[in-house]
Amino acid sequence: MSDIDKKQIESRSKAIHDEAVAALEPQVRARLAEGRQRALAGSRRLPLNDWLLPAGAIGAAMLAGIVFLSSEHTTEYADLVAADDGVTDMELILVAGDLDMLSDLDFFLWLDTEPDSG
Amino acid sequence: MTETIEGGTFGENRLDRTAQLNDFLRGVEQRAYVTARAMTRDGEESMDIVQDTMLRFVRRYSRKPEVEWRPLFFRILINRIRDHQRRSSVRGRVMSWFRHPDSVDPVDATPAPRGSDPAVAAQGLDAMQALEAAVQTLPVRQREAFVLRCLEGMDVAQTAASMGCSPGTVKTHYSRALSALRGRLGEYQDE
Repeated sequence: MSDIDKKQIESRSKAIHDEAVAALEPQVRARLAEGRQRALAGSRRLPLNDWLLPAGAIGAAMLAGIVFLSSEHTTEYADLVAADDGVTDMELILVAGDLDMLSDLDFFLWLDTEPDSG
Repeated sequence: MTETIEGGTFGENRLDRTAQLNDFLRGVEQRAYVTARAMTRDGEESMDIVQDTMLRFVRRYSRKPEVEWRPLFFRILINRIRDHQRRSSVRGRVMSWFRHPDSVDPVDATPAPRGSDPAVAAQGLDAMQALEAAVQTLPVRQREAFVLRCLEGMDVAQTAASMGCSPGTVKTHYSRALSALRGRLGEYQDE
């Protein structure tokens, strides 16, 4: 097959194709334009994805910060609670494992405050 | 202040990118439709294929460099056309199982408005229909190479990227396609 033949087929085919594109019906063009707009509407939402990763990283960092600070706060609070006498008494009771003391807790608390109790 | 400037730049970039995408798609959508129709010979299916291609392209590749858009777009288009051809092939086989061997297929029995012989079709149909008919007779890979190289005007590298094969394969398929079409489009070459 000669180069001239090839060129003829190429140029004629291309011309036929171009003519077909130019002769497209208006309703076909309109439907293609609608499809394009639908596709682009999807692209307008894409920037959300652009922000998703950094926003997720920032969110995770903030969450980690909150967890860290709250754990420090919890430790301080635990120290304060530990300083409270009532709770200390409760711990003593629980450590002793004598659950009978719970049935009359007020009595034992009063007993503990008495100087001669023991 | 810096944030406002950066935000403004980001918004402008978004608008620019959307405008670029719009221009690109507007430039290829009609050609893509005619190309799909030449390969499927089904206008309605071609419309679905092109619309789906635009959607997938924007979702997947809109952030790629603009110079890569065209091969990527036609790669999706070609894949969608292949999907259609596979579905049609399976449908044809399924229908043939249900068809009684002695029954006459009404479609086959109807006088063909478009002769299956491209040479005959070329006499009574317009040039595009003759081209579509001729293209249909090509093997799939030759058809793709011809459509992308000749009708879409892509170079060998772009065609290879769209077809997912090597440049050498493109050259082989394209050359064979031109040889096959030579006789079938002969009558239209002199017009």
